[in-house]
Amino acid sequence: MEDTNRAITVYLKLFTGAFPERISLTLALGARVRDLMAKVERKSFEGISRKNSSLSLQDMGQDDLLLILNGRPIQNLQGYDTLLEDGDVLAVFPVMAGG
Amino acid sequence: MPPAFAGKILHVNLTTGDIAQKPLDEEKVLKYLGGRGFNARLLWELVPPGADPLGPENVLIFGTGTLTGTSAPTSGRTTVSCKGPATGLYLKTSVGGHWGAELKFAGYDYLVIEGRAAKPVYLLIRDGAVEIRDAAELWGKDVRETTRSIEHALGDPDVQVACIGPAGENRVLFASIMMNYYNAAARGGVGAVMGSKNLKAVAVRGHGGIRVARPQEFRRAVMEGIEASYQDFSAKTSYLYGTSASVAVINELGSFPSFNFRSGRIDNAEKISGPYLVEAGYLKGRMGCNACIFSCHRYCEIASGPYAGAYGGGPEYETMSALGAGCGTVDVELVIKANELCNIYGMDTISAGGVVQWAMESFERGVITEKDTGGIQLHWGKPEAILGLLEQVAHCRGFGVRLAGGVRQAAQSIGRGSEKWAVEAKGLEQSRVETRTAFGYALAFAVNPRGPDHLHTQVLAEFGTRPGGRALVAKITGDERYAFPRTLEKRADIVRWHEDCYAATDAVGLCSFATTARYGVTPELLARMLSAATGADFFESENLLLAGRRIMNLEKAFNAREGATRKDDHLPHRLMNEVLAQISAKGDDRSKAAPGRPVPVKESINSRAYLDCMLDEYYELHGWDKTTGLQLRKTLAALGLEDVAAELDRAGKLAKD
Repeated sequence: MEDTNRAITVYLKLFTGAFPERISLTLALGARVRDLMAKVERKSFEGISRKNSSLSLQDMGQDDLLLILNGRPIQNLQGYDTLLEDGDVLAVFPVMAGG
Repeated sequence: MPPAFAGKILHVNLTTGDIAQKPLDEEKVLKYLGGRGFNARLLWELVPPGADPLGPENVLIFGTGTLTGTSAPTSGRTTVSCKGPATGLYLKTSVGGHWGAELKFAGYDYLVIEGRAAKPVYLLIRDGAVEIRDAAELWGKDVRETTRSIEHALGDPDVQVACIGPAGENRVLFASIMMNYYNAAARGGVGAVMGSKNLKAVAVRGHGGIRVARPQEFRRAVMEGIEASYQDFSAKTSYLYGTSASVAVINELGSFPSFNFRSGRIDNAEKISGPYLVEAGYLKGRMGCNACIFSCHRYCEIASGPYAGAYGGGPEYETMSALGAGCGTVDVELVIKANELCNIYGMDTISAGGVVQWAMESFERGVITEKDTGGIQLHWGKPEAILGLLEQVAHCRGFGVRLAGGVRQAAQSIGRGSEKWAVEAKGLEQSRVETRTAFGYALAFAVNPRGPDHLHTQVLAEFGTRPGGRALVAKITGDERYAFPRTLEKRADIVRWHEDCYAATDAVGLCSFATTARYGVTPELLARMLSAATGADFFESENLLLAGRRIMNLEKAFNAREGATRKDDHLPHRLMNEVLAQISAKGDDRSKAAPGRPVPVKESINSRAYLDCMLDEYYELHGWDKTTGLQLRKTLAALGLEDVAAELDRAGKLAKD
């Protein structure tokens, strides 16, 4: 059980379809992005598949995902080692390119 | 017929009616790689300095890529070049679809249109035979009607038609040339140049083929490129959701140009995204250009409601921002309808959206009123305003006359400070990239010879969000930590590499989605494809990129000859003088240890100081004069452009060594 006195709440926006699924998660103080991603339940990205089936978050490699923390790509912060703070918002997308 | 080429250039003089076929000088073409590169050379030779872009002395060149018409992945591109009417400077625009491949199958690599017809005509090219035909019946028709009429007249639904709509006929300075309904040579007013020549369409049909010099070797390189491209997961999202897949991402980054670039965010941006087109049932089909492996192009329809029956290709990411968020709306049906109007009237959606949102902001500020607009209330997001203005612009009616010359001319005409929110530079409306949050893009846009635009130099790698981009930045700069968009350092190096690569990509006829947006087709692989296709063994990545730089320098020289200098390499006033609003600064102190000083979020601006800092490095890297931005003789000579240097020297447009 987590010590809620030393816990933070982080908001997740999972873009598994057109609109995000919003989830709030409580994490221990000192948690990093990788800890948060490990806690995320098995979610599927609708419409995206490798072999005619939906692709779940856990099936996707880190390079297949685009994580944006408070409006910044995590690669511009400290990547999966970025320390989370109370109230942070992490948006998770399948990777995209071009426009 | 030399390998990879059809072997001929077709010259059509519309003033005299002369039609001439000239043999292709393969060596000269390959010096510039083909396509965009050889177009630039032709433009340099054929357009006299000071020519009126809408006068008969301007030329309109359709140049296929050297690999266009082959199975090289994404090789369906054609470059249309001329002196640009929006800027008075160099203009090239790249277009997909199948028209270019068809031109090669019909026996021509390049089509050069000169002069001006006395009355409306269209050109028919069928398996080498060329006719200038009367187009009186077509003049006034929109793009759909024109294309269908030609298909019907020829009894051939597979004929490839490049044509203009009313906007091109009316010389709207952002009129496009539409190829087979949906593919647009859009930016900078190429459609106005075609209209100025009284040329309504170019219809092409060919039954020939293109042979490559070493088929087995070519096939191996092609397969390698395809497999490498599919390793990138974004190939999948591109197919599923198209270019507008990235709307929600970019909005999340606070970099989605909204409300005429006043904001980087709009609420409910998801409603104008690629996934929403799929989920809400608007998407009816996915399309690819010739030899495409991504099929990012959309086909959408609206079944019911006020816009029932609207359909067409797209909307693309740029359109979702330009005609959606930029105009203050996330009504996707409105965007689909507005996109349809632009496509059938033949207008660039980016600039069309640009003029509408400039007018909306001017209306909000009271600079223009209902008296000016003929009673239209130009409130943000109002459908009547967006659709009404597009109709007026395309037909040059009412207030549309003021907007048909683009935002620069509109702001100059209206005045009262409206230049400050005219989001243009060099006369071109900025494409939908928020350069205040990405400094490599800012530099690339400022130095782009055709104006602030993404389709000359894409520097996605600077975001560092994908391993391919980070590896590339490490290769260019020696340190992958420079894959970080909020620093001024090494932007010049990153931009110049991408300029070289993008120019080479355009010239051989590939789509940048294969090279600088994804990294499956590397310069090394591109060089192998080119060597195997042409039989010219001298290609390797280094001289391929050097040829790209030669192209870039020739384009720069064209502008210098027209009088452009460093003072022209800037960004729109708003972006240089207003900090981007609505960006969360949280997380700034968690930024990675980027080399040098990261630019804080609160300084999201393309200030003169920031720009000058990058420009100095960029000119120095190129071997250009830092003070004037002009080229040096030795720089041009090193690229084999001695004759260009000599001409610039005679014109007093060469920097002192």
